[in-house]
Amino acid sequence: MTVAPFLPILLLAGGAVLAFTVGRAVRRGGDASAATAVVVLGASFVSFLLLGGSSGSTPAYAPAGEVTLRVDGLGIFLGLVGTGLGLAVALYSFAYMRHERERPTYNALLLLLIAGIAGIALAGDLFNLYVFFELMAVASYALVAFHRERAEAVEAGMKYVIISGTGSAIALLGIGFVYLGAGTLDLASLSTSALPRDLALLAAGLLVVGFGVKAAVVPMHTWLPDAHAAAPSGISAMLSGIVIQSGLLAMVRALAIFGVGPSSAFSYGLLLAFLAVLTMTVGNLIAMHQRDIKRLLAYSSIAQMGYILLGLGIGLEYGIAIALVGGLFHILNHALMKGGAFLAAGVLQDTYGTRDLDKLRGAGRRIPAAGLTFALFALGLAGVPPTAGFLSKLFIATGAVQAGGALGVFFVVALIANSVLSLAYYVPALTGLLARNGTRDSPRASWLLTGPVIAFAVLVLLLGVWPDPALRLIEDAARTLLGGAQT
Amino acid sequence: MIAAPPFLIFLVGAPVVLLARGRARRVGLVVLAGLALALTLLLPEGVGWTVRFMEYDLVLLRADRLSLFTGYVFALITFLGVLYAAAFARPWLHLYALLYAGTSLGAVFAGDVVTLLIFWEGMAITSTLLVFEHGGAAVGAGYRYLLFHVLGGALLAGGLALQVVESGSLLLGPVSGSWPSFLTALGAGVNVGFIPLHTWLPDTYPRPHIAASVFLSVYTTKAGVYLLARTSPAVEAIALMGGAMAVYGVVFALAQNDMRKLLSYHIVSQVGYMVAGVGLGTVEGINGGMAHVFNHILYKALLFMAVGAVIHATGQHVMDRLGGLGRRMPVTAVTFWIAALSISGVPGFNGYVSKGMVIAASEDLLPLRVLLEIASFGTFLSFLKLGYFVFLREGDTPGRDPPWPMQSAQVGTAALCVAIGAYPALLFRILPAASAYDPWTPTHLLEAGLVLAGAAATFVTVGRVVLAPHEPRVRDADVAYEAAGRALVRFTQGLARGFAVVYDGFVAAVSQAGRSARRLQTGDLNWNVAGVALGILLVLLWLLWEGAA
Amino acid sequence: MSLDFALLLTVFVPFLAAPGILALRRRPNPREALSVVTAIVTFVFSASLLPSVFTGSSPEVVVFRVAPGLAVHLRADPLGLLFATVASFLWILTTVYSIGYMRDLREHAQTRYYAFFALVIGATMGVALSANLFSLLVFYEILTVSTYPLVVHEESEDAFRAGRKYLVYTLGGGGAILAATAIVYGLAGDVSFVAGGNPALRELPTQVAQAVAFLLVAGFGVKATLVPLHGWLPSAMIAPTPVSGLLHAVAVVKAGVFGLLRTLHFFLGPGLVVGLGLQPILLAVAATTILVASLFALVQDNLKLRLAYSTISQLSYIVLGAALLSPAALLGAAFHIAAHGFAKLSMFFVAGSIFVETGKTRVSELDGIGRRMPRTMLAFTLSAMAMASLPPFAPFVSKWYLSVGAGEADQAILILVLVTSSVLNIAYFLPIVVRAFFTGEPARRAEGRPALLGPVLATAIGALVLGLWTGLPYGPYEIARFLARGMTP
Repeated sequence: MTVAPFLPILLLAGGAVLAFTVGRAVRRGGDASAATAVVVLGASFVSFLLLGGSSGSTPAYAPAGEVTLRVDGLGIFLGLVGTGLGLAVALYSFAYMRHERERPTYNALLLLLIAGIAGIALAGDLFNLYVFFELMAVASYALVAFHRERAEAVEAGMKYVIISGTGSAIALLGIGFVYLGAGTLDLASLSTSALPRDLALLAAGLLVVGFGVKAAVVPMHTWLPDAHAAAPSGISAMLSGIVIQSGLLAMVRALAIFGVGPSSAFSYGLLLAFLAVLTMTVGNLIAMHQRDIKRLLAYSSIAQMGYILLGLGIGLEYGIAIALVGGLFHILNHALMKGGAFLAAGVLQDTYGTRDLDKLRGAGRRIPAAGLTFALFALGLAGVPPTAGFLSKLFIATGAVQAGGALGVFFVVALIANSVLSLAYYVPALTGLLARNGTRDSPRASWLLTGPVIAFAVLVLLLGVWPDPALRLIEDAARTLLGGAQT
Repeated sequence: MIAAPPFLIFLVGAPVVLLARGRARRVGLVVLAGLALALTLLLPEGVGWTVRFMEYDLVLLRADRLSLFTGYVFALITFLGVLYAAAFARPWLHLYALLYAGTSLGAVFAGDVVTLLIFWEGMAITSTLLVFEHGGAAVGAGYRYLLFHVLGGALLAGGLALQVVESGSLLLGPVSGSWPSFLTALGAGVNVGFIPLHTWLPDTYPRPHIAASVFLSVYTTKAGVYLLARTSPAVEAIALMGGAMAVYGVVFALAQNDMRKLLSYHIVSQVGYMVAGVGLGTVEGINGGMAHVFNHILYKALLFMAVGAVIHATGQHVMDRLGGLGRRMPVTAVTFWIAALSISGVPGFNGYVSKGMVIAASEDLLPLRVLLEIASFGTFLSFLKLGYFVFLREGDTPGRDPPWPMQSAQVGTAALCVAIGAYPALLFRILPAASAYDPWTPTHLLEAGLVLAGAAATFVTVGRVVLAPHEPRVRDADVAYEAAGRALVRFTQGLARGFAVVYDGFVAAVSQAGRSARRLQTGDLNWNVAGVALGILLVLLWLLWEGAA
Repeated sequence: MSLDFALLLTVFVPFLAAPGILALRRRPNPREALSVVTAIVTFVFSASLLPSVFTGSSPEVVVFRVAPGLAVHLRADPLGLLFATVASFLWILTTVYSIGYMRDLREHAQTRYYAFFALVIGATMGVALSANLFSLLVFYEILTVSTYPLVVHEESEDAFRAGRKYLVYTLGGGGAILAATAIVYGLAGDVSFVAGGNPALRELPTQVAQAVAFLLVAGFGVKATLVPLHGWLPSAMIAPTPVSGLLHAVAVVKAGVFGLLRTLHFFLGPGLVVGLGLQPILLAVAATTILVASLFALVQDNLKLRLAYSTISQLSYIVLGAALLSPAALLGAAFHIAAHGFAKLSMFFVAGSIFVETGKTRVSELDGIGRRMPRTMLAFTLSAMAMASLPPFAPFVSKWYLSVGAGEADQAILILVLVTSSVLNIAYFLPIVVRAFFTGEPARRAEGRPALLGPVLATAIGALVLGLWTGLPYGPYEIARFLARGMTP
C-alpha cells in the first residue's frame, strides 16, 4: 500500500529519464523514445486504474518520508484523464513529430508534464501539491517553446514563463499564509482545523489568483492564446485538455480546506462562480473573429474553463453534487473534445502547412477524418446533443439553478447564453472547413494521426448516450470533494 | 313523393347533363331545371337527411314555411334562367350556374349551421367561377368578389360557431348574444350588400356573360336575406341599414350609364327594402321582406334578361349609345316595361304588393319610412330614364328580339309579375306567416300614386335633360378600399424593413462586442501582468466584502 | 411484434437507414429504393401504434437513461402519434417527389441529401414520441443539426449565410429549452410530460416558473416561427424545394409548434399557464404572427417566400388553438397539423415542379402557367382554397373548431383574427391562380414527370379527403377528437 500510490509518479518520472536516454542512445532514437513514452503512459494509466479499484471513496493516506500522498476519487479521476489524454497524444506525436529533431527531449518533457499532473492528483499536502504543480508548469514552459527556431513559439514561451511564474509565486504566498495560520500543510489535518478568518480570506484570495493564472480565469487569462497556439499540436491538446484543468483542480483542492458546502467558512465558491461567468463571457467574445484555427480553439478553452469553474464553484458553495459532477464531467469531455479538436487541427496543419482558416477552406472535406471529427467536436463544445458536451453542460446548469431563486436562474441563463454565443465562432469555422473548394486532391494522413482523433470522436458520442462508466468515477470524485471536510 | 334535398338534383345532374352535346344538352338542361322545380314544389314540410360529419349530425333538409318559400322562388327562377341561358352554347357557364343554384338551394334548406356554412362557401366559390368564366375584365372583378365573400363567409362562420357554443345546439335558428349576432349579421351583410360592404356587387355583376348576370342577380343577395330572416337578429340598426341601402343604391343608379351597372345598384336598393323588412323583426316586416324577395327575384331577373337581350342584339352595354329599340325589339320592350313597372311599385304589378308590405311594416320607425319612400321615388325615376333612353326615344341602333328560348323565359317571368300583381293571394298563400295585408286600400293606392306621379313629373320636365346618360363622375367606396390596400402594402414593406434592421442590428452588435473584446488581447506582456494585478484587485474586493459580511 | 418494439423501430429505423443510404452512394436506384422503403416502413410502424392508443394503453420504451429523471424515453400518445403518422406519411410522398426533383435537376450530393433526410425523419419521430422534455430536447437538437446540410445543400455563399442564420436561431432556441430543462430538473427533479400538466412544476416559485415558461415559449417559438423569432424561415427557403416543403412545412416548424403544444398542455398545464399570466401574452403573440406573416406574404414576389410566410401564419393557428386552452381549440389545433401539412406541402411541390419545368421562381413570371401545367395548378388552386379554410377542405374543420374554442374560452374577438387571415390568404393566393389560368398565351401541355405530379395531386387530394371524411378510422380527426376529450376543460 505504501508503494502503490507512488507508482504512477515513479513510472512517469522514471519513464521520462528512460525515454530521454533511450532516445539518445539508440539509432532511430526518436521513434524509440516515442515508443517508450507510449508504453510508460499505458502502464501509468493502468496503475491509476488499479489504484482506483482499491481505494474506494475514502481517501487513503500514504506517508512516505516527507511526502504525503492521498488517493481518492478526485485524484484517480485526474490521473486517468491525464494519462489517457497523454497516451493519445504520445501516439499522435509519433507521427506528428516524425520530422522533428530532439524527439527524445520532447517525449521526456511530455512524461514529466504528466508526472506533474499525476503528482497534483495524488498530493496529500499543500507543499507537494505546489511542487508537482511547478513540475508540470516547468515542463510545459519548455514544451510551449519547443519549436525554438520560431519566434512565435519563443515569444509565447517567454510570456508564459513570466505570467505563470507570477501566478506560482502568488500561490506560494497563499500557501505560506495557510502555514502561518494553521501550522501545517497537510490536507487531512487542514480540513479539520480552522484558520483565523482574516488570514483565511487572504490566503484564499491568493490561492484563487495564483492558481487562477494557470487555470486561465479572467482576467488572468491573457497568456493562454499565445501559448496554446504556438505549441506543437499534441502539446496544445495537453495544455487545453488537462494542464489548465489541473491548475483548476489544484485550486479546488487547496480551497477545499476552507470547508465545502453549507459548512464552508466563507463564500469562495460564489466568488468562483462569478469569476466563471466573467470568464466564459469574455472568452467567447474574444474568440469571435479568429481566423487562426488553433488560436480559436485556445480562446474557446478560456470560455470552457468558465463552464467548468461554474460547476465547481456552485458545487462547492452549496454542496450540490450534480454541479460538481457536471464540472468534472466537463473536464473529461473537454479533454476529449478540445484535445481531439487540436489534434484534428494538427492534422490539417501538418497536411496543408497553415493554421489560417481562410486558407484551410474546404480542407475538412478533403480529409474527412479531420473535418468531420472537428465538426463533431465543435458541436460538442457548443453543447449539442447527442454529444457528451451536451450532458455535462446540462448537469452544470442543473446544479447551477439550485443556487436558488433569481441567482440560480441567472447562472443557468448565463451558461446557456454563452453556449449559444460560442456558435458565433464555431459555426463559421465549421462551415469554412467543410465547404467545397474545388480541388480534388485527397491527401492521406497517417493512421497514427487520425486514429486518436477518431477514437476521441467515438468516445464523445458514446459518452453522450452512455455516460454511466465515466459518471461512476466522477460521482466518486465529487463525493470526495464534498465529503472532503471529513476524512 | 320524393323528399330529397333539391341541391342533389343539380350537384349530381349538372355534370351528367353536360356530357351531352348540342341540342340534347340544351334540352337536358331545361328538363333538369324543370325536374328540380317540380321536386321543390312537391317537397313536404319536415326534417330529414341527416349525415354524420365531424362530431355532429348534420341536417341536409329542413323544409319549413320560410325555407320552402325561398326554395320555391329559387327553383322557379332557376328554371327560367336555364331556359334563357340555353340559347348559348357555353357548357362551363351552364355548369357553374347550375352548381351555383344547387348550392344556394342547399343553403336555404340547411337545417344546421355547418351545412349552411358549407353551402354558403360553395355559393361563393361557384359564383366566382361563374364570373371568371367570362374572362377578360371579369377576372379582376372576380378576385375582388371572392375576397368579399370569403370575408363574409368567415365572419358568418365565426358568428355561428359562437352561437353553437352559446346555445349548445347546432340547429340553424335565431341567434342570441352580442358577438354571435354581430358577426352573423355582418357575415350575412356582406352577401346582402350592407353599405359599405356592397362594392363588389356593382363591380362584378355587369362584367360577365349576360346569362351569368341573370343568375348572379338572384341567389347570393337573397340567400343573405333568408339568413337574416332565419337568424333574426332583430336589431333596429339593421332595419335602418336597409333604408340606407335603399336610398344609396338609387342615388348611384341614377348616375350610371352602363345598363347592368344601373341594375346592380338597384339590387342594392331593392335588397335594402328586404333588409328593412326583415330587420324590423315583426311578423309583417319579415313577411314583407320575404315577399319582396320573391317578387324582386322575378322582376330583377327579367330586367337582366331584357337588358341582356339588348346587349346581345346591339353589342352595346351603355345607354348613351342606344335608342329607339322599342320598335325593333317589341317583345323585349314589353317585358322590360312590365319589369320596370313592377320594380317601381306600380299598382297591378307584383312589386307594388311587397313594397307596400314593407313600407306598412315600417310605420313605427319614421326615419326608415321616409328613406323607403325616397327610394321609391328614385326607383321610378331611374327606370323611366332607362326605358326612355333605350326604348322610347328616337334612335337608329339596329337590333331585334332574341332567340325564342330567351324570349319565352322573359315572357314567362313577366307573366308571373303580372299574375302576382293582379292576384296577390297567390303569393300570400305561401308566405312564411299569414298576412293581413290588403294592397288595395285607398291609403296604399294613394301613397304609391303620389310617389309615382311625382317621379314621372320630374322625369318628364327636367329629368330628360338632367339625367341624360353619360359616364358617371361619382366614385363609390371602392376608392377607399384601393387606398387602404395600397397603404397596407406600404405598411408591410416598412415592417419588413424594421425586422431586418432588428436582426441585422443584433448580429452587428454581437459581432462588434467580439471585436471590442479582442482589444483586450494585446499580446503585450505588461498587459498580461496587469491582468493578473487586476485579478488580485477583484479578489481582494470580494474578500473585503466577505470579510465585512 | 410487441408494440413497444414497434415504437422503438418507428424512431430508429430511419437512423439505421442513413448509413445504408451512404453505403449505396454509387448505386442511385437501390439508394432511392431504400429511402422509399424506409419511409413506408416507418409509417407502417407508427400507424400500427394507433389502435392501442385509443384503448388507453400507451406503448413506451426507455432507450437510455443518463440520470434519474433524465432519460431518452419514448411513449406513444394521441398527440405524438398524430404528428408522427402525419409526418411519416408525408415523408413517403416527399421521398418520391425528391427522386423526380433531384434527378430532373441533376443535383449534386444526392446521397448526402437522402441520408440526412432520413436522419431528419428519425429525429422528428423522436420529437413526436418523446415522453419527457429532456428526450424531446435531444431529438430536437439532432433535428436542427441534421437539417443543416439540407438547408445549405446548394453550398453557395447565400446558402451558407442562410445556414448560419438558421443555426443561430434554432440552436439559440434549443439553448433556451435546455436552460428551462436544467432549471426544472434541478429544482423539481422531474421533466416528464403528463396530460394536463406536470404536477412537479407547481412546486416551483412563481418567478422561476415564469422564467421557465418564457424560456420554453421562446425556445420552441423559434422553430415555430412566432413573430419576431421567425427570421430564419424565409432565408432557409434557399434549400431545395422538397426540403423546404417537408422540413419547413411539416417537420421542423411543426416540431416547434408541437413543442409548444406539449409545453402548454403536457408540461406547464392549462392551470399553470393561466396562473402565470401567460395566456394573454401567448394569444397576442399568436394573433400578431397570424396577421403580420400574412401581410408579409402579400408583398412577396418569390413564390417560395410567399409560401414560407403563409406557413408562419398558418402555424400560429395551432399556437392560438393551444393557447386558448379549451378542448375544441385543442382539437382544431391538433387537426390543423395534418390539415395544413397536406395542403401546404402540395403547394411547395407545385413550386418545385414549376421550377423544374420552367426555371421560374417568381409569381410575376407565372403568367399562363396553368395552361402549360393544368393539373399541377389545379392542385395549387385546391390547396389555396384549403388555406383560406374553405370547405370541403380539411382546414375548414380546424378553423371551425378554433372558432368554437374561442367561444368556449370567452375570447370571441380572436375570431376576427381568423376572419382577417382567411381573407388575406385568398388575397395572396388567388392572384397566382388567376395569373396561371387567365393570363399569358396558350402553351403546350408539359406537366412534371409522374414522380413530381403524383405527390402534387396526392397531397392536394389528401387535404380534400381529410376534410370530407372526418370519420376516417384512426385518422387525424379521430385522434384529435380523442385528444381533446381527454382534456378537462
